[in-house]
This record gives sequence, C-alpha cells and structure tokens, in this order.
Amino acid sequence: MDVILLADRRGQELLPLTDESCPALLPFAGKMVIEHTFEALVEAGLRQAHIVFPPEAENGKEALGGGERWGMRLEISLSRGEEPPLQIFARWKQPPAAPFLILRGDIIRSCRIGDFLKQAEALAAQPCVAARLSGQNAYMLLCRGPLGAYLNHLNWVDPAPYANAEADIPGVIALLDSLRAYHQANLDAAAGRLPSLLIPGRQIALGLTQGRNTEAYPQNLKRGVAWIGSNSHLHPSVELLGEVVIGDNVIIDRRVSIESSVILPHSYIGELVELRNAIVRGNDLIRVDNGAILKITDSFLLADLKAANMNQNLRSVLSRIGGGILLALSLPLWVLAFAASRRQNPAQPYVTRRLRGNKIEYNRENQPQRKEFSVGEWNVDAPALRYLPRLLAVISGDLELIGALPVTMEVAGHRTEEWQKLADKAPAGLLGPTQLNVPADAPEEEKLMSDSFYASNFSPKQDLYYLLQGFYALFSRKAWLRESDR
Amino acid sequence: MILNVQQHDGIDIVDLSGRFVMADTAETRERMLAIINQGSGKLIIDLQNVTFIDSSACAVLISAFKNIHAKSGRLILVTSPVVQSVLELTRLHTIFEILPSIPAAIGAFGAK
Repeated sequence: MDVILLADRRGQELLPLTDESCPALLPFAGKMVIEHTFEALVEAGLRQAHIVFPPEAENGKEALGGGERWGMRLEISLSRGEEPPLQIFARWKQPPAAPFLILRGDIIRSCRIGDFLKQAEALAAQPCVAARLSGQNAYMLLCRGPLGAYLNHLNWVDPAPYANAEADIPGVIALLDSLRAYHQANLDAAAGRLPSLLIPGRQIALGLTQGRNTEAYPQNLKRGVAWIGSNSHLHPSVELLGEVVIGDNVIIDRRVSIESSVILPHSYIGELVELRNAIVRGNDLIRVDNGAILKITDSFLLADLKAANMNQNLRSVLSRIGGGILLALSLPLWVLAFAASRRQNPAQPYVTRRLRGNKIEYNRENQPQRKEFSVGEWNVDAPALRYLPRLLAVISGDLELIGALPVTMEVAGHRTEEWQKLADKAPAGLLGPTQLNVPADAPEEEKLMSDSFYASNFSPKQDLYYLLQGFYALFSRKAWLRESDR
Repeated sequence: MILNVQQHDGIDIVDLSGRFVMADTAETRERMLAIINQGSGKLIIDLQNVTFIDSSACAVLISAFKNIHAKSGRLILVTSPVVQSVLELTRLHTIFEILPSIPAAIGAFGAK
C-alpha cells in the first residue's frame, strides 16, 4: 500500500525554531518529529513512503537519506508549502493509486497505525476512512476510492470538515502548532504521556532516563521526571525540577537550575543559570509563559555548540593553511635536518612514531575516539629540526598548529581522572605551552597539568600568543641544542 | 538606547528604551549615579520598552542597586518579558524588587 506523508508545514508558528528547517525535522525527544511517524508505520508493516516537504526543508533529503535507518524506502518531493493535497498531486506525474494511506508527518501521534487500518478494513464499503484519536482529528486517511475533496481534511491551513466514515482509536495527538504546544508535547513525551512513542535511553534512577555516552547523576533530579539525550554532560550540581527534556550534545555547567524546560541539541547552559518554562536552542531563549523570545549574546550564559563547531572547523582550516605556509618556509631546514641526522645517526636518520591525532573514528562499540596516525621525526637533538615532519601532520589535519602535546594511545589510555581528561578537550598540536615551556624530560604529570591548563583556558588570542612564542623560540638556543647543553 | 528622567511625588523615574547593551553602559552608569546622588532615594527604573539587554547592562542595574542601598534608598524595576527573562536567567530577580507596571511601583513607594 502506498503511504504519503505530508510534512510540508512551513512552521511560521514555531519561529525561531523553524528558521532553518521545517516542523517535521525539529528534534523531539531524541529524534526528528517525522521519525516518530516512520516508527509507527514500520510497526504497522508499512515500509515505503512518499514524503512531501516544504521548500524550506532543503536539508530534508540529507537528514533522512533513503530511509534505510528505519528499514524503509523513502521518496521525497517538495510542495509550495502548506498546499492542499489535491494541488500537490496535480503536479505529480503519477498520482497515488488506491488504496493508499495519507497522513501528516509534521505532528506527533501516539497511537498504533495498525489498529486504525484494522478498523478501517471493517468499513470496506467506504471509499475513505478518517482516523480520530480519542475523538480528535488524527490527520490520517485511508483512501480506497478516487482522489477527492475529502483529502482537504488533511490541509494544515483550514482543514475541511469530514463527513464520511471515521475510525476512532485510542491515542494522543500533539499538533505542535505553537511554541507552547511544542514545549508541552516534549514534556509529555518525557513524562510518558505519549506511550506509543519509542523514546531512546535507559532509566538510571527513578524518573531519570538518559541516552548513551551521557554523563548525568541521580542527584541531578531533585523532583519530577527528566529525559536526557545522548552525548550530553551535566555537572553533578545541576538541579532538574518538574518535567525536563534535554537533547543530544548538550553541556550544562555548575549549579544550573532547570525547571519545566526543553533544552534542544547542541546547547551550552552556563554556570548558575536558572531556566524556567523555557525552550533553549543554542543561544535562543524562548519563554513559553511570558512569550519572550530572545537571543542571549553572552556565551557564558547560553551558547550554541554548533556555532562552536563551526569555529572549530574554521580553526582547523586556518591551521592547515598555516602548516602549508610553514612547510614552504622550512624547506631549507629539511636539507639541514637530513644532513644533521645522517651525521648523528647514520644507521637510522629518520624514525616513525604513532601518536593520537585529532581526526575522529568510531570504535567497535560505535563510540567516537581520536584516531592514531604515523608521523616521522629526524633523528637529531635539535627540536626545531627533529619535529619538522610534524608539519605534514598539521597539513593532513592529524595535528593542529597550536594545541596540547600529542601523546601515544597508551599514554592517553592512562588518563582516567577528570582533571587528566581535561587535557583531552584540547586538540593535539605542533606548538603549545607544553611543547614550548615544559622541558622534554619533565614528569608526565607536569606536562599533563600544563595541557589541562591550556584546555581550560582555551582561546584564539592565547593560540596567537603561542604561535608568536613559537617563532621567537626558533631563534633561541633551546630550539637548536639538546636539553642537557642548554 | 534612550534614557528619560522624570519625577513623580518625589520619586525619580528613569525610563529606558531600545537596546540596552555594553556600548551604553558607561554613560548610563554615570547618569544613573548622578540621579541617585541628587535624588530622594526613591528610584524606579522603567525597562518596559527595552527590547534587548545583555549582561553588562545587568551590571549597570546592579551598580544602581548598590548605590541606592548605600544611600538607604529603594529601587524598583518595572520590566518587560524580555528583560524579566534575562533577569531570571541570571537569577538577578532574586535581588531586585520587580513590579509589573509604573502605577504599581509608585503605589509600592506610597505604601511604605
């Protein structure tokens, strides 16, 4: 049976959440809104669907792919946005053939679609049967006859009243037709009031559910119910009250208090912040009780971690360009390094080491981890010559120009304490405070402390300082003499 | 940002409107201090028409609060939802006296 998913709401009523996307692709309890409909369709044995997106959902295809993730085959087309279904079908080369199921995919429906199909079967004489969920329009029709005006019952704008057969099944519908409704539906999902939805995560304490790789503590939940997505980090002093939803990749700092709020993915909540009846998306603060919508410009209060990633990408590109320039400038030194290493170690002038880099790979448990890479070293005493080949690793992106001291996988594996892991938050680099200021034979703890301090005070200004210090060091004795001769 | 000052029954009412951000803080802090020094110790800051406020602007409000307390005076803020949200986010609503309208704020001074 053909399935048509109307997901062409433009989402003006959900601005600013929909400024870059459409309601069907908004995050909702760990998934996109439309994914919950996919799962209900798969449960009913329906594995093919044609999705209609609005023009704003340019990222729709990229986000859903071909549907393999859900065991489905998806076809995607665009409408002009919030169009009546008959207008959409008029442009299709082949309109859907009866029987077909047509439903909105940009709302949340907690029900069993199979139950509706069974009830509709009993009404076989009817050309079309509409679903109702506990008496409410479920925006879902099973059509067996020719296309007709009855399809306007699914219009997002002014749905036409329905006069034909209806099947009422148990369930709940959340239209997400306002910011307040979106907020409430998220809280309902966390509190289990949308029972048919498959919400990911496991319960770590009574009322507290969290996704994988999330660091949260039972004491975080002061009262109520909280659902936390994956890869999120909550400081032990964070307080969650009432019903709270925290999406994926969220960082919540010390002594934050969150009550009846929804924190969307990739958000940072700064120290001591208090949130109540709010939706937070990055640095957007939406208060559903007083209607205030504002962008917080102070990144120590709220910040968009996606923007931070973009800055990270820009930093990485600049680092590679810088590495390329330095490589070109250092070419005469390579000749010198080759000659010196041949003289000092004729048997082995060039050695290779394996270090932990900055590129990410997924291990057997599907967890992201830093990738190991090989890098050469000239076998000479002068550090300025010895580490020249690391410029190649800067160009390849395995190292940054400025960063923490690169270490082997084995050394990294011994970092188990929280303060030790802090150093891993900084990328590994060619130059940095440890490489420039800490003696090579200093104890491992001293180097680690220096890198941890660098990671916790990380700033572009500081990096520029280390770059200048690196240039200055090139003209100093310590760059050209072995440690014991300085 | 625009700053207007008026008096009502010995109460200084500072009306702020527009964006209240870092660029405005030095001038606003100075003017606020002058109003507090010359005033009666009863101050209302009307933020209902403030469309945006950042943390440095919040610091100006805190400095006004400190100065008026040093004079044993009283400060009442009248906020818009946007300002109220930022004050709550930063927990400053716990230190400021906040009322929803100018008549309510004037009434509060009368009642004391």
